[in-house]
Amino acid sequence: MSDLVKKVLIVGGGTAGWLTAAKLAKELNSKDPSAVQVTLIESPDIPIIGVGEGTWPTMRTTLQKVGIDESEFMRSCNASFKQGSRFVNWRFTPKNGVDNYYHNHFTSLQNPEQFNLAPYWSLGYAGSISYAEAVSIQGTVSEHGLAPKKITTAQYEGIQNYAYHLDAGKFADFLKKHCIEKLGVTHLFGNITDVVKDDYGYITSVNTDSQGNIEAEFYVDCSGFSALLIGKALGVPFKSINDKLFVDHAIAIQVPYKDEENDPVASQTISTAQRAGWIWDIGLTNRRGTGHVYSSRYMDHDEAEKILRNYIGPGADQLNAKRIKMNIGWRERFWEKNCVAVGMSAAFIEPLEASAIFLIEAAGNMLSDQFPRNRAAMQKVQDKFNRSFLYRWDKSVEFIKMHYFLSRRDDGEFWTDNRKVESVPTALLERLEHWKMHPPSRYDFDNLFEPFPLESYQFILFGLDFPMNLENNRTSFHMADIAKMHFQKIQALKEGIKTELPTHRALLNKLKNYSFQSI
Amino acid sequence: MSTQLVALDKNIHKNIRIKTKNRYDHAKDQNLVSIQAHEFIASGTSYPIVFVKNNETAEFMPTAMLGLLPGENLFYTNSAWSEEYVPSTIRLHPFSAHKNSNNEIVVCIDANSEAITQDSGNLLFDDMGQQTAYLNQIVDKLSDHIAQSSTTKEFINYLVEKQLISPYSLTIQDKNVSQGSYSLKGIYIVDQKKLQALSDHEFLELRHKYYLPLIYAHLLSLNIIERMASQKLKNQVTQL
Repeated sequence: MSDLVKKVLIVGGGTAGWLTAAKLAKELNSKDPSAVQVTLIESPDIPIIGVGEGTWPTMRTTLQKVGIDESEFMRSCNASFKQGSRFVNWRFTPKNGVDNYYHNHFTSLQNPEQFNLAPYWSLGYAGSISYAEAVSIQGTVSEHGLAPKKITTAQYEGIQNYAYHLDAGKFADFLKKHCIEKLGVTHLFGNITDVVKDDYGYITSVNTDSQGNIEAEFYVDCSGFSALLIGKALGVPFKSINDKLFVDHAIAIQVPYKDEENDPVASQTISTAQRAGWIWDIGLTNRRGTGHVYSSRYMDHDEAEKILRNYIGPGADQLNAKRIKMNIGWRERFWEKNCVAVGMSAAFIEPLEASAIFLIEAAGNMLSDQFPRNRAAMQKVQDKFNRSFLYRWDKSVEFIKMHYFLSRRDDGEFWTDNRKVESVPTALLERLEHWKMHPPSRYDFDNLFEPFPLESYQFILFGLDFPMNLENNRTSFHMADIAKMHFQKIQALKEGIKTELPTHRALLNKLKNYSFQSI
Repeated sequence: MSTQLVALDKNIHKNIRIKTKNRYDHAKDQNLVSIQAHEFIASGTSYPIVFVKNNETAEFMPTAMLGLLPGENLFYTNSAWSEEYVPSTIRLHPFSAHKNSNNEIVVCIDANSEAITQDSGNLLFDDMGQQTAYLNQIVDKLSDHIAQSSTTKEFINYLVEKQLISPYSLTIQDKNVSQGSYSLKGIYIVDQKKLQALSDHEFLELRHKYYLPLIYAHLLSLNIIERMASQKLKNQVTQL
């Protein structure tokens, strides 16, 4: 009897559902009726979470590969360019109303895996500027409100590396349209009432309230925190990590611009630390998305909302707030039998480094590359997938924890508790111990699917003033002349770039009427 | 001096004249000039025809190369234009024509142009405020030029749609630059491989649309780049 997979059913129509549908349908060539067919069912009553608006540079490749035109995507989703993050008041508690900053840029001019400038910066060869200023011109670009490319740059290419900020609701709708019209995805509205399994525990079909019984051989659970398939039907337990990452709620408010045509659009995600969490501030073309991520163990909901409204300033009292409870942690297994969970049904940590959408893309990549055509294949891929993604989520927690552990904020127990070693992954403690006297190297990042590479760690490490001391080892860093040459080159480029690039707002306005060419 | 485009007005511009001597001085430092489809055949034996993205709109524009570097015009020396055919927008300077918001054609003049004089040259309007024969001729040529812009746009859209355009990478040897050579940037051409890969049906379409002469005039003209580069090298050697 053939158990060949002929149909995939994706449950859930948010970012996870539609990105996975697009990836799968493109790779499996679902337009061809003899290929594996992809169907997505979403509830007409349950809204999508609708607040995930930051992405990674990988999104450019993801969209290009499924045949999406960049300009069309940006217009439809009110998207803007993201050139990294600006962390406000994370280094230490602001004193006398003076803010402190550090940055995580997307572009370094010199690849640290080939020649790492970090030790030379640490030994003083770049002068007294910050690490980010020494190795990247992206700070200058963002500070001056400039875009990472010009209208004459080809689509998906950049003069500086970039990702997108986008409207979550519009993104799902845009992907839906592309999936249905261009990729052969079948779309259904309906609520799942129960899940039918066979004697081996594999899902054979689902019953719905309006579409009857739907059969498929493979299932993707994109139903968010409800985890209808992986959690409720297949009973895979959820492991909380709130002993390591303390935030558990978010309050989100959308803020309009005073002047939608002319107000500058921030080109970085701005993340401002607070007494028991932090506030995100993302600029789209037509509005900003803000949110206060906090721990209810250290702050009550009313105060958290007040803090966000205070951050937004005058006019905030007219705006609606949405409170979201976040389940921080992950399923013990993401892939169970013939079902894989992608998105919040699989895991959620917290949005500090916009990793959620990236991990959706990564899951879609591995799933479509390794797509199993029968049960024997499913059993083989299941373990590979679970191992790989457990590693990725683990490392993501480690990276995010580092932001809290290295902070020297002292304005509350949220911050002091975050520095208690019991709350820190052992792997992170070990890495940091080693980095006290030895710079990070590519040997520390030897997994091909490391979610955050060497340079990302360095931006955070040195941004938070990590006390790496290489004095005893100064003689082994003897290529100071080459390092100084790189540092000078980087500084020299900063002047020229100011006249070369358009402002972010100007380019976004141009995009309303014109498009990037594909070459 | 920067351009200042104003609509031509029989009152404001009653007494101005357009000088007849050294008519192309304004283009002495111009290295690129936009051309229309109907100029390809005349231009193709004198100038390399390439495609360049418009800085404001990113649309491809057919362009005649007058120099290999910004600020360089190799075809205008000692106030003489060395080629028989002078591209239309250069010949028509300081005049140009643009469509206004009602889709009407408005004749414009560059008020900052050095070609405008008060003493000697061609008048635009006579004593009764009527257009002179000189201006009538200009207006006719401008109408022709603008009528061609939709044909040119269609041609470009077709090339883009069929994905026939590719970036052109070419390195030019030049003793006067720091590394002894430089590459041309922002230049696009019709890709011959993609042209060859067109189906018979699509290739026949090119014939029906009268695009074949345009494409081949463009492709043949690319040889002129080398000629310009070696002429420059020769000039550098004789200056030693």
